[in-house]
Amino acid sequence: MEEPRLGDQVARFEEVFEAHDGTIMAYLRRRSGSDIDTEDVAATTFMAVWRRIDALPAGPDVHRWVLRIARGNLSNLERGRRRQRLLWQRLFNQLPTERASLDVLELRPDDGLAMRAFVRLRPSEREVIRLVAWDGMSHAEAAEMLGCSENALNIRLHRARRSLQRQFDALRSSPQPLPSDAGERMGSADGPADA
Amino acid sequence: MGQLMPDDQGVDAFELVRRQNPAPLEEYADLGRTDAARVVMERILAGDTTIAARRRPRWRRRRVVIPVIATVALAASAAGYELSQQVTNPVTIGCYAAASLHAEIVVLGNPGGSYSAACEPVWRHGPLGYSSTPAPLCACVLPSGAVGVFPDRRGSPCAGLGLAAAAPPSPGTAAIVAMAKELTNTARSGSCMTEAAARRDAASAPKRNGLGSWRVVVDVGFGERRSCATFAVDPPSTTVYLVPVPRK
Repeated sequence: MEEPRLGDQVARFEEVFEAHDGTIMAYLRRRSGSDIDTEDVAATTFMAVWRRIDALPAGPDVHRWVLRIARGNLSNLERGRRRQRLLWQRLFNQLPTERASLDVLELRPDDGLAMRAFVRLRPSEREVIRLVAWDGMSHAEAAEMLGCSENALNIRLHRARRSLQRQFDALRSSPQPLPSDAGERMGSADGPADA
Repeated sequence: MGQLMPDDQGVDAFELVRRQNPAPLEEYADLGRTDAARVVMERILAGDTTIAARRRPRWRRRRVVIPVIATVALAASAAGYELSQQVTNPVTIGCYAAASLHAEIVVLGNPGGSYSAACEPVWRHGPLGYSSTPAPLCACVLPSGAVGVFPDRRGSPCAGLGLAAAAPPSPGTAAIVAMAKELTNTARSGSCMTEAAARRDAASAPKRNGLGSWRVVVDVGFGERRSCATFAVDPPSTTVYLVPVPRK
């Protein structure tokens, strides 16, 4: 009786992988800024899905379930990176040089300014905008991802958009050249959730 | 009334950012069916852990952290008397799976009435992993001013967490909850609530519910893509936000 059960598990995993690998990769790519990190975290995510294949939920809940695993793995990666940065700082008494992960200079002027304004936001502000604007989530779905109510999500989104507009307007009125060692990253989904 | 946020030339930074999606879904949709993806999938099924050998992330239970924006750390007295205080943000209720601020949480819109009773269906129907009502449920005031409902297995979960017990809803609290429910139902009643209709409702709803005057703030971004309105109610700032959403 073992083999038919294993075959069933494999079939379920294949179905989940084929259906969701693309969307999970896209979700991670929007946050990690690196193809290597995207592939690593996606692989780790589906390894976890395989280990827990018997707990796979039914229907549309599958995507949210897999997304939560991916989100957790991405947070682990970012925590590790932060520890590395702090260690580097302790060892060499300076932060490591990082390059901006998006070459804003190739975009149209307003598009470039909008992205520069975006990377200046707090991580929690960037994340709520990513969920709605890039991941295409409804407000209810985004609220569930962040572990807050839709009401709280709407307030956070309002504040994030307001911050983005202020940064954009400030850059527009006094544009500055992008430094070659810009230390801001587009990644990181940090930020506490509100009820 | 209201604040409009795009600059005077109508440039919406949010829309510009939206257009710069670094990974549009249409470019990734069929990735899982490629030959390269098939190789990864086969290696996972074979138990090959070298795919991610450079890192060994440890999966952790997802946590919801309530940010501390007001200090309400109160300890129970030696006599066991538990201080109580009014909830300042009653619009939502957090139903916690255990007497811990790091436990799994289900967040509900406040349906009105008892805070603890609102969480009973969450326990009875299983989202918190149980099929029947557990030990009595106890409502506490979270650092954010919202309500957290915890199972009371060993007595005084609020005091144990350094929180005040939630006083029963006052008339003012009940009025805020009623207004939030009314606005939510209005926004959901049709396929699309226009910005103009939403402004009228947001302006009149506080007075209808005996709450005096509240601010109405119009979020940026009403336009062709997001022409319908929904509401967000923020009691600490006595503000009703009008939020643009796509047509259903």
